Amino acid sequence: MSRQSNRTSDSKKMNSELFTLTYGALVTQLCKDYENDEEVNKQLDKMGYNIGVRLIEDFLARSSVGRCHDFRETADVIAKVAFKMYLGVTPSVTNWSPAGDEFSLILESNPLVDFVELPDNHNNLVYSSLLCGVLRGSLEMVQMAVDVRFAQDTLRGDNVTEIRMKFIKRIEENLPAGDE
Amino acid sequence: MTVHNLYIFDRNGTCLHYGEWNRKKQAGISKDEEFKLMYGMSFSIRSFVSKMSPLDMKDGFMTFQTSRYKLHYYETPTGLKIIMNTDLGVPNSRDILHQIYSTLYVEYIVKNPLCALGDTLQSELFNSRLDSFVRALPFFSARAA
Amino acid sequence: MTCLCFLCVSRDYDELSSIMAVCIAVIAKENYPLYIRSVPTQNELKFHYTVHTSLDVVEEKISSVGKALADQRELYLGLLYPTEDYKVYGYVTNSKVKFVIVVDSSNTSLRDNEIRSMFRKLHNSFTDVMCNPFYIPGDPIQSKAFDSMVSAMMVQAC
Repeated sequence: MSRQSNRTSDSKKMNSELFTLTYGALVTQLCKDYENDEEVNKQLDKMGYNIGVRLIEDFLARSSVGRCHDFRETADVIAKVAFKMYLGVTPSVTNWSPAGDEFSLILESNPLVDFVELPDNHNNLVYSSLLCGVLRGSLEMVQMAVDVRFAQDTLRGDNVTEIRMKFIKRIEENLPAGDE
Repeated sequence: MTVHNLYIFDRNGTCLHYGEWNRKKQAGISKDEEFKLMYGMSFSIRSFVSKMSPLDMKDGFMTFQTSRYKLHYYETPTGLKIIMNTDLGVPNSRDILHQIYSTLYVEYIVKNPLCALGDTLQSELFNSRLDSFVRALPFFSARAA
Repeated sequence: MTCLCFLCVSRDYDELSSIMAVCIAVIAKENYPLYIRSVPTQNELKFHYTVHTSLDVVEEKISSVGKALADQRELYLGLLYPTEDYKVYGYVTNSKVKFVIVVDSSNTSLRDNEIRSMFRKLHNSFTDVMCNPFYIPGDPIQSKAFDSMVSAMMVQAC
């Protein structure tokens, strides 16, 4: 995984194992603290949301991407620019719903799960649910409410990792109350 | 040529930061009142120009000028707004406002987990960097026109 | 059992084709077993005993190297001792985790290089297990990936 520094604009490499192990330590610690997979999923999602809210600013500052015209463009930008920039992988965008408001990101490899083998007593754990939160948080900041969930996961024996994203609504900007 | 002042608003209309350099005349109202007026005006102009636009608009409006000053406007897709008032001689400074966003706001505020977003910016570092950034601009001159 | 052969990469497969390990063990720094597996047809207890005995030889080999040289010591210890039926090979990581491989001594064609590459594979696989955030260091190894890798080493040439 490569991370780029803003100030110098030359690419700074970060050790991907360190990143993977850090995330692993985070998840297992949460599992210890909450002892309930659903609760851990929720916490990961919440953390991801908080990351996403800030990450989108960094993304906009570093990429020259402007506002997207439609959800298809958004999907492309997420897959080709954002995932490439932050995780070093490029998922493919497929399985569009007929209405064009729902699509899947198919990840051939997920850098978060490099060494992970899910033990049998964590059946409900969605190990990478942090990613869902990140996507939800960052899209919310650009006026898009979306629903994000894992449809397939290599940790559960599926061949690929599939993240399903559903567009819910546009968040309209309003004048704050009390202002005229 | 000179820079008069600079406002940073978040998506909810909260004024995150206000900086002032060569401003000779004050509005005569409280700062809060002034921020609300400034935000309200930019909000109205923005929605007005997008309604009037004959083509689909992407970036909103960029600048307007009166006989005495020029207002530069920059908005990110996340709704952060940066407004800078300068005198008339300053060329279009969209790039400079983008630079303030990407090299100062994102670096010192967004990436600092201790800085709450959506609240008046308390970061000394950000304030001093912004101040020196503005003072270093080619069209910044202490002698106000 | 031939179905497991796909687990070996083709080149490794050639190397391993002539070897059949009958028992593979991973021993923790404190000398208790983390993992021990033997071919099911034979007496399991006997292998536990063999591996246990080999630890003394391992200990001896490590301590025989002087303190100054200890840092440059090779991880592979070579043949620990031969018995009538088996040959026992050892390998010690820098973190003092021991790997022991027992092979049939009737297997005469096997070369030192092949044993070496088996240990290397074992070590890599063990490292992956250690990197799994759900594995608690010191616990017995219960990993499907590790299991299948070991099975591949114990499978006879097909």
